[in-house]
Amino acid sequence: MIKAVEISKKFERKQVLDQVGFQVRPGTIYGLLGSNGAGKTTIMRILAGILKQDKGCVLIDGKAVFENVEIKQRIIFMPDILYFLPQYTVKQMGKYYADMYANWDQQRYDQLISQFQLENKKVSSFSKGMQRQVAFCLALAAKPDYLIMDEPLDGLDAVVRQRIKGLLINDVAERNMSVLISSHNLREMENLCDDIGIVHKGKMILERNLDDMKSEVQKVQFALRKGQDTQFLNKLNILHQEKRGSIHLLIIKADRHEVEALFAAQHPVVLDMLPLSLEEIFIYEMGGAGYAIENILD
Amino acid sequence: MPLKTSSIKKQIILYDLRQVGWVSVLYFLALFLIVPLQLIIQYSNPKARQFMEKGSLFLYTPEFQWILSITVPVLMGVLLFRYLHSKQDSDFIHSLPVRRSALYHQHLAAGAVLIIVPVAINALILLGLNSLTGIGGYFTITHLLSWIGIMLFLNLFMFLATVFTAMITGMLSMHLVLTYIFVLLPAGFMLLLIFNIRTIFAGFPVEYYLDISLAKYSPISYFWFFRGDMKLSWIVLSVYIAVGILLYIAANWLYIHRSLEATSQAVVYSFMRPLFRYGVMFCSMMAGGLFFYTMSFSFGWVVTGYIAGSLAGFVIAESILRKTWKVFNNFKAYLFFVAFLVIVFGTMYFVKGTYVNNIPNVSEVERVYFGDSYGYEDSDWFTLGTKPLYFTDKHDIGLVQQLQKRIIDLGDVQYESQLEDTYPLFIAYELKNGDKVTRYYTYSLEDPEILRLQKEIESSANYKHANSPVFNLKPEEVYKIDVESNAIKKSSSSVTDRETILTLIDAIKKDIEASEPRVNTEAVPLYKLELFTSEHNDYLLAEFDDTYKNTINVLKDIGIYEDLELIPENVNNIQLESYFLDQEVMIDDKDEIQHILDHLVYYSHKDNAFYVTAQLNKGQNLNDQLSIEYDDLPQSIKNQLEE
Repeated sequence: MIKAVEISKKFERKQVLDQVGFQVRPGTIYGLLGSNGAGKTTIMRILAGILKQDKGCVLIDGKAVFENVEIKQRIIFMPDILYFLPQYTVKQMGKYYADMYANWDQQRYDQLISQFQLENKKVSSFSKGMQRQVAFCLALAAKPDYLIMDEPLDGLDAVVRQRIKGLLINDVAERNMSVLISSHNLREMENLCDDIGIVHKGKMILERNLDDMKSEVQKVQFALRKGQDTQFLNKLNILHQEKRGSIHLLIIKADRHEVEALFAAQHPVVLDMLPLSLEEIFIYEMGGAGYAIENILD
Repeated sequence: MPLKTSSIKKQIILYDLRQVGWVSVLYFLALFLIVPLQLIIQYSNPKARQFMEKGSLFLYTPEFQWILSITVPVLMGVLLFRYLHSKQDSDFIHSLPVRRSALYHQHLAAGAVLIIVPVAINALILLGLNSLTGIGGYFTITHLLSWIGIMLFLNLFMFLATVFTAMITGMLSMHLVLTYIFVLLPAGFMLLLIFNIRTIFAGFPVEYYLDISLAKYSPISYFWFFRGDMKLSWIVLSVYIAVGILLYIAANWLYIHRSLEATSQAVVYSFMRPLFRYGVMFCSMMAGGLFFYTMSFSFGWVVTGYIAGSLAGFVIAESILRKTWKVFNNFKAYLFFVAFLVIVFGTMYFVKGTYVNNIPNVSEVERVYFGDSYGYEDSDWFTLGTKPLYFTDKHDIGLVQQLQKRIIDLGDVQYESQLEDTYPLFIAYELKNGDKVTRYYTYSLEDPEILRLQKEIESSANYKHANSPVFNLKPEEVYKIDVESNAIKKSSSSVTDRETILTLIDAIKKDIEASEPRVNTEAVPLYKLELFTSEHNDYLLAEFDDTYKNTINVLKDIGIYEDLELIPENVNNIQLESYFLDQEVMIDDKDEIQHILDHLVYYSHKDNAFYVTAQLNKGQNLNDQLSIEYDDLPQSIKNQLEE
């Protein structure tokens, strides 16, 4: 379990993180969302033991990460701009990692390399997308308990992206690996993450479990007969309301079954329970702050 | 699950070898070319072999050995710790499960080994040459050991200094610059400080401090001065070893506490930034002042130099620290600096009088050195046969102090030292309590009082004995004296008879003691003795003129004088030819000839001088390099020239 407790960090005089706290549970994927400069990368560098927070603490399995070799053995950090040792080939990088990480699985590395059809060439000669694949092969072959990735899916084509997502989910399920992944793209995180945290200007402004969130907010489209009373709507916590002709569109914060039962009792002419995207949930649920979220998510 | 807990990572060392192994290989080759190969080549060529001397291995192109020693370790350190100065490298390396201290020690060890191995292999080759070939005749095992010792010492110290500065900065370029600033700083700072003190405190003996104590403050200068021989001081070496150990500990501590987010900052630790800022300002202020001082020797310009220098330093420091040219919004830092300076200079102003007028009481003085050489403690500084002049007599010390006071009263002529006819004067009082008071002046003899005092000092037996080689030799060891005229070509005769030699030495000693000091003149004494002794390789010199009656009489007795004698009667005429003007004069008046003979100088550097040639009636020729200055011409000739 990764536990960040009220971590604050200043770069020179600039407050980059201000009392950020969250948890990544074992065997889950946590999505860290926020616009550029929000502090995501700094959080990750602190979790990876590269930087030291000014205040607060970062515990992994109850132990501080900074300068803790045993904990760092079990973490892989994949930065947004990838780094490979200059002039090193795919195999040499593997050997380097093998020397660093006790859990290194050479067989798995060879397997992954051939699965991605990567030749044994200098990594620097590869395209960006291929380098990203090498990074994934290295990370997964090291069999970390914690995988921290900064904007990992950028610059990958859809096929590779899907394959990598599959591998990640597989390791999470099989080895109970925890993943912390950052992105500025909410849609991408939607069907990958279990939990989501939104960072804005160095603060954690929202932290939710996606399953809970989806079951809590409903999108309903309905039409009533002419002159029918709409008083029953007052009982509901309506986040958003629209009307096009006789069709109403509501976004309601409530349990799905309750809503279905309530509307069914009114015998509407039309009644559809529509799927909600994460983005909509955020925007509507956050109300006033929603505007901020729209700004930070593209 | 067993974890690999060993902190020594084979791959880290392998990576270092891949990165900087080539430096080590090139270093080996360069050293091989410079030392063993050069020995082999010189030895195998019989002509070159005769110039080989048995001695230190630093005799072989010491400059190259020195340059390699101060660049290779720095390059090694810069390359090994380059990862600290790039965000991506730094993030990657520090996300690995290796402690910083382990990284530090592994890179340090890799670098040290890569520096030691090329020196060691060359040493082995030299050892082989020494024991297996005749080259062994040109250096001993002790020479070899001291070569290894000094090389490794300098190399490893430079490497440690580089590693230390790597921790301070977050930029590759700054690392290189800072390293050299760091190793030169103590010496450079002292140098600037001493020169700047001189601009304010008249009499401050700059050269004395420069020569005696500065070189050892930087490994670069220390090893430059001592590269040739073995006179390294154990105290200095111990201090360097202590500093080296401190650097090693400090670098480790700094690394552990380094904020990696400050990568790309010029100075990583915020507490060091004011030090850097004000340090740069102070040094560049002093450099500015010194620059203007050497250009103008005027205090007004020195102050201008201080202002310009400190402003430049402010802009440099701020733009490096903040990486922007918009530096003036932090102008209050500069104002702090100015306030600090006002205090410093204010204090100096009050202290100035005390320093300048600090002349010890005669009763406290054990002895005083009087001369033009600040290096009086080192016999190498003196021309053969002369020795440092000390006065112990109260009367003599009093004279020196009168002269010193007069110089102080007249004001510092250091500013005019570029002008002609000024002389250096170095005075060192050694007090009874063991203290030393040293002063250095540049003075002119134009003032009659100074001229009088100078004459009186030079009249003293002490002065004459110290400055005349004849008093500082053992007469019985002189096996030959050449007697020669300074003015006439090929006038040399030799005296080898023991009795005559002793008589001649006796005579000239008497004459010197009785002679009037030759003050404020460059006129060539007409005659000279060259005394060859078994003690020295070179001859000792004694010059004299017609007032040395005893000497002249001896020369007359042995019949040498005739060939040397230069009196108007022997001169048919003298021709003067102006250096630059189209003026020529022919002189045959005997009085005028005598006057000119008394004022001959070797090639005068004055523009208004004249070449002197003469027709001698014994078929002799005048020396070519004689001239006379306009001011020294007889009035009648001056009148003639003006017409």
